[in-house]
Amino acid sequence: MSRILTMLVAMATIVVALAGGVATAYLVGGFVEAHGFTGASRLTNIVFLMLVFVMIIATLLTLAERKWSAFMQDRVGPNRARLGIPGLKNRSLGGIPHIITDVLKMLTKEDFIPGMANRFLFNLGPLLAFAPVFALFAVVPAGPTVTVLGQKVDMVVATPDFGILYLFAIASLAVYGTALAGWSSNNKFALLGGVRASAQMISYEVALGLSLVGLFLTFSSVQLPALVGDVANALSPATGQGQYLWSTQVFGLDIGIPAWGFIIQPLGFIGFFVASFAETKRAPFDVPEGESEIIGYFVEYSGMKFGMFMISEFVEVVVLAGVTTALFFGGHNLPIFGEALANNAFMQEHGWVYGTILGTVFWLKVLFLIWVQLVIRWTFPRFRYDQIQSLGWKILLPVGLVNVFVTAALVLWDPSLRALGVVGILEIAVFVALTLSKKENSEAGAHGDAHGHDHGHAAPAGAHADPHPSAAGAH
Amino acid sequence: MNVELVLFGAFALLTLLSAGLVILARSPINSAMALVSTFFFLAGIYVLLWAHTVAVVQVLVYAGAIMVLFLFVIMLLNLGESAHRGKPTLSRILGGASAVGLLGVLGITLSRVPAQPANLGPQAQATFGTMASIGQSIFTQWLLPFEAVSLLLLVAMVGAVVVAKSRI
Amino acid sequence: MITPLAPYLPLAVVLLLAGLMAMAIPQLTTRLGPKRPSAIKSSPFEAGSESSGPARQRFAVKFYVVALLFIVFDVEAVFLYPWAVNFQALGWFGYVEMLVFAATLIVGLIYVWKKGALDWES
Repeated sequence: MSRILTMLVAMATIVVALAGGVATAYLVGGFVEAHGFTGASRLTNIVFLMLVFVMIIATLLTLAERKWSAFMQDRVGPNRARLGIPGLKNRSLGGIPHIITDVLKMLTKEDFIPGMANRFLFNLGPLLAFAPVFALFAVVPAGPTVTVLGQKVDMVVATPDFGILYLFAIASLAVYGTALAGWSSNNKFALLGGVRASAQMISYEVALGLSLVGLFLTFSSVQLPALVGDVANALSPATGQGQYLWSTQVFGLDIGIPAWGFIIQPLGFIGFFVASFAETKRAPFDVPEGESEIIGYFVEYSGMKFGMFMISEFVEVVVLAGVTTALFFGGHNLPIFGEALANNAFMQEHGWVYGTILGTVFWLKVLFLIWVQLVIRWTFPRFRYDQIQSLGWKILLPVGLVNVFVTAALVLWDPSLRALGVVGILEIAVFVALTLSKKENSEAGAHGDAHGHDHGHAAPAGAHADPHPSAAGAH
Repeated sequence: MNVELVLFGAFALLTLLSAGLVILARSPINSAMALVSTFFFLAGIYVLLWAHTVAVVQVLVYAGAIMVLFLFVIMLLNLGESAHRGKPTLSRILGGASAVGLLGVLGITLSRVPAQPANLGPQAQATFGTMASIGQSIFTQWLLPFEAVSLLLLVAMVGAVVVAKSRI
Repeated sequence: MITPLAPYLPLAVVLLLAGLMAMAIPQLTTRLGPKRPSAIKSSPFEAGSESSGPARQRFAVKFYVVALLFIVFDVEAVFLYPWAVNFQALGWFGYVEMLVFAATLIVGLIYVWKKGALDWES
């Protein structure tokens, strides 16, 4: 009972912290727009979105991953570090002091460079691994555009014309980080890891790019704010994922099925999620790191240089969750009641309250997708390298191409997107059916008593991360 | 002082510096990394020219894809510093000659460019070089070259397999 | 001053910030950490066994083929994006255009597949 209570308190704290952060971001944005220059809120957004939200979530994630893996493996997880503050000396505080000790440990280790290494490239490796990943979040919108203190404020850092292509272009530079780290270390394990990592990353970049084309042509844009869209209000009709496929009014509230990416583009969603999961090089795609045998391209790195590789992996997890939310889960839009909220007189008058509610919705979706990634990471065993390559080239690439042309034909045939929605829902039904039927087979087989453990997590993980049988079955 | 001019100067200087490093660096892997940064700063110059799409494609394809292939070849063949440093070989003479030829072609082209910059109205400025306007001209005006690109890519794909097939 | 360049200011700040952070953070370890080099420590780490032969060895040509195929499909994807943006304006004509383009590449993919260049185990 007390455990449930603790979890409820923790969840409430998270929601309050998120809402407080978003509200501060909107109010400060409105303040600098009113008293600074036009566009100044974009610069404060850099601080709030990239330095506060993304970096703090990534830092907490280092602990969350250890705690969650412990939970899944029936362990306690990190709980030994203590804060030397009176009253807290005997409390583990959920392991939070471990974050501080980890950082201190990494900072005070010897900055070691192996003897035969190429010093310049060895130092360049972690730089090129971290910098592109950090810069990725710049084009992701984390909230609606609202009026604060008489100024238009939006929750995005940059809206260049090429939109999400910025993400692809910058992400493709991260390959150099792994390749150079592996090559410059003058270590056989590191080189093996580096070559595996870079070949894996470029193989999945192809699938990554293709999987989103269907979504782009549905909404005729590559800009994330346009893809996220907004719900209908008194001034403008609904755009992007703010639209409803089917909707009705109940007691003056709007309910229906929204045109969210994963409903109209389930194949695109699975392709994108699997491909970007492979880009983060986390299990089941962790052959380049292979902690138990080759350690990976960063085997010779110590201290904060290793820390750069580690933190960029967690930043990638947050960015992937953010981009997936924006592209496939409606961004900051509510699934239902969105129009009722947008047209509420109080919300229209107090733009920052409206922005805070929807911004919190965005970050809650992000946290959910991060959790899904943790579950996948600790559920599936590692793929073999030939399986990784053939999944990328022989399944995701052809399926991505077929998806582009099927989507294009459906959009031309029925511009209201309802045909796309029907096909999408059918595809989801096929995935679910295939996942469930596979589970029954394994239950009937040798895993008689093993299935009980992961019963609760098998459904989301199986539906999202296992395109092998589903994708092949759908086509 | 014009901000765009200052930025252009900075990007041009950085591009030239990186390009100089490409030919002066002793180890081929350092050359390759210098070429990546050349492409990156070149993309900055494209942005200043309002060629948004070209800028992002520059980073995506050249810095992010083609240079990865270069890096792979250098890493996989384990190329060290050249043993024949400074000696005139046939490939060097040919390479130098084609570089001089390219310089000549560029010089002739530049001398024919009108001195007055093109004047775009506000409407044209807003759409110039955007994804939509580039797509519009590729898929209507330049349809045949676009379809020809697919043949070029097909040849590249088949060529890679034919060259590598003797080993795999 | 509204120019098409205005949205790039925050982008430039982000890229600069990313580069500076990536350079500054590892410097902390260099400043704070001890320096105790030794011959054994600077030899390649191979889980305790003695290292033999040079670390940088030649690799299978497969990786090269993968990189080349990646370029080809990356270029294809680059053409798909402006097509997707203009898609609703181009209509069925644009659909057929891209189908012809993609079909040529699919022929190439089938060729590469049949030749076994996509098979990792061989």
